[in-house]
Amino acid sequence: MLAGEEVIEQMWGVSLDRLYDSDEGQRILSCIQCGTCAGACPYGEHMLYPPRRIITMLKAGLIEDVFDSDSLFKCVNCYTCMTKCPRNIRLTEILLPLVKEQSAVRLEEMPAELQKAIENTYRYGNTYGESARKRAAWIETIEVPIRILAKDPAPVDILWFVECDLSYHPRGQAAARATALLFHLLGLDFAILGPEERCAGDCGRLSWEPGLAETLVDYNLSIFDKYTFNRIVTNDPHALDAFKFRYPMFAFKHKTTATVPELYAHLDRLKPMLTKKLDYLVTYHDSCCLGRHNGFYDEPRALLEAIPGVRLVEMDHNRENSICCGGGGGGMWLDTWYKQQGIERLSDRRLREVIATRANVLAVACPYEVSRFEDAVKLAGYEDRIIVRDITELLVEAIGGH
Amino acid sequence: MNTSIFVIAEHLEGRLADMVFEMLGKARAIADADGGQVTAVLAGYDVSSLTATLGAADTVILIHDELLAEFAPQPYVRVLARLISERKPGLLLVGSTSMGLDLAPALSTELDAPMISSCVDITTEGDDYVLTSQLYGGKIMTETAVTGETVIAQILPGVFRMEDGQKEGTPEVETVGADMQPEDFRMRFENFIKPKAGDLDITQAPILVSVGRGIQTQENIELAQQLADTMGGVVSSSRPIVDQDWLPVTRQVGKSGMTVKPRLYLALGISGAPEHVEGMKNADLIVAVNTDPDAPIFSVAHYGAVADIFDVIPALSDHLAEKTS
Repeated sequence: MLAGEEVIEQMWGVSLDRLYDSDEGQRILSCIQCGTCAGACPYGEHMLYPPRRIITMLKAGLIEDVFDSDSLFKCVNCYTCMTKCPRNIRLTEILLPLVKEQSAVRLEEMPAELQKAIENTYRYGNTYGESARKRAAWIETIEVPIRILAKDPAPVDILWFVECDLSYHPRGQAAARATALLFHLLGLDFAILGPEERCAGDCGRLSWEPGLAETLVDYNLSIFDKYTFNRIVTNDPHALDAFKFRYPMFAFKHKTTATVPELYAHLDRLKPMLTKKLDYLVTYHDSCCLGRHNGFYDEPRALLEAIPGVRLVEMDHNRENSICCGGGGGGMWLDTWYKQQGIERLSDRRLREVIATRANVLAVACPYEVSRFEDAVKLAGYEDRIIVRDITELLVEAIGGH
Repeated sequence: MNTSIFVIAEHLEGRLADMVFEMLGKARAIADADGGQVTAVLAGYDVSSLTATLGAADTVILIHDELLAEFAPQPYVRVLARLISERKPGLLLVGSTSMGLDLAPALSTELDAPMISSCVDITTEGDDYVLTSQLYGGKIMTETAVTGETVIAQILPGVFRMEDGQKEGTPEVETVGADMQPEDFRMRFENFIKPKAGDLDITQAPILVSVGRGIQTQENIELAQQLADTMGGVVSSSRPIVDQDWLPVTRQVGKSGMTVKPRLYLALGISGAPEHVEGMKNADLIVAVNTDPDAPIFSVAHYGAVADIFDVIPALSDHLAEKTS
């Protein structure tokens, strides 16, 4: 289920009313109703219409009933159903977002927190509602020189797409500082867009507002056109997803990768810098977008194992069976809504697997996960026993003298 | 000038809106200065008892019809447009309320009459009414001299004194029929949905005593409640407290809860995760108590104490009790 031109072609222009005209629609007709999707879905038991039933309803001409339910509110876009489907139906990429969009249109009232995040993204280009001008304010907090393309537009190898969480959230900024230092020490030629950058739009697309996502795509493409660079690297697996699967439909052709595989590519030079022994028992949480959707399972683990002293243990659900932190598909802004529905947050559920490994460090690679799991740790009362760290933070900790 | 002023007497569930008295008071003042007449227009079904509090008006025109029992824009616009085109008042005052926002523009179109929204003052100049109104949410004020057979002014609530329009006594009442059929209208009143009765609204409280994980047990929340009672405040919390079901979700401050701006925010045992700070950073005064000197809450607090909240809460309660006794 990796990105590629074939995939993009299948996704392009598919709409619900002309679904069966597309190859993907034909594939949906081949569903054998095995229910693997519903069984694998982390919130399947809370959905009146899990993916299997959505397909049944669609075939029976009763899809309106699905639109009127809140089932798709519980879809966290984790790609589990799609990965497990024996017929390769591209549920998370095509059918579910289309149904989700219609469910959102019929909502009487959008949950306030999600509404605010969407409005903030529309107005300010980030979910936090912070000023776009402050997007690069975090670079004042480090010694490493960081080039902003607007000020110095010379061609560059790597356009580092920092994204909202790393730009504005204090814990995200820690990962941004760590990444900048690693890029600098590896001698990479990189620059950022700074105040010109806006949310890549993945969450907008997946969180019920495809129109907003397209606005952001248009905007970011116009900025990319201003500069010359060889490739894009981003820490946010959601942005990676957007660049790999959505932007190409709008004539975007840049090579894109995530920070973790980028660092892995330089592991031979990075490893000698990791001189400080960290006596940690680490378990790694696979991000849905980085793992299931883009296949980066070994790279994050190799980076962690390169740190002297680190011992890696696996949770019950790992690699393609990993359980979502609950932040995707708009879940990041539905915490209170889930709470009101009496549904356990996935980050709390996942943390029980972390605790079972007896690890004292939970390593993550997606900016959503740090704050979600730090909250879960607090709620479980494990503040003294488990710390949550981005992989880049751990690497920097292992570099002597930093 | 035409000094006959009509005021729409809006009512809901058997009670006149406060707004009606605010408008009546202003209308009375203009009429008294210019020797005019104030008429309250009361449309409804079996609402004649409401006329007893409309003493500030010279007359009440009561439009009585079953189709007016509950507010629906189409029948109301029909009867009011007919009345106004017959009686030709110089000025019609409508509240800038949900009902008024339905009525005024529709009447303006129906009667081809000038209308000014968001009015905060009315004066007269020669033969014209001069209306002061807000633009851009109050950032800009405009004064408009309006000429027209009937000028419609939509008045913002709370700008005129309600007391000026509160006068007991029933003025002369003229009852008018409506002669309408339900099938005349495509829009009708279905039912009145009341908002769910909620817990108290923490966004309105001037003092919030807010607790975090540091409170340790559900029983200890009572200590914060006692302190809040002494201070005249309300207890709120960070998310873990709500997640544990120790307080209802209505008390939660932060990204996934409420954004508050009290005069005093007392953060007790709250570490200050960014998601929490987002909801309270604009409070006038933030006082934080936490045992961890590195807790991020101290970076937004105006005053902070690295202390055990179980020492601070009783000490503060005792001190306040002493002061008030």
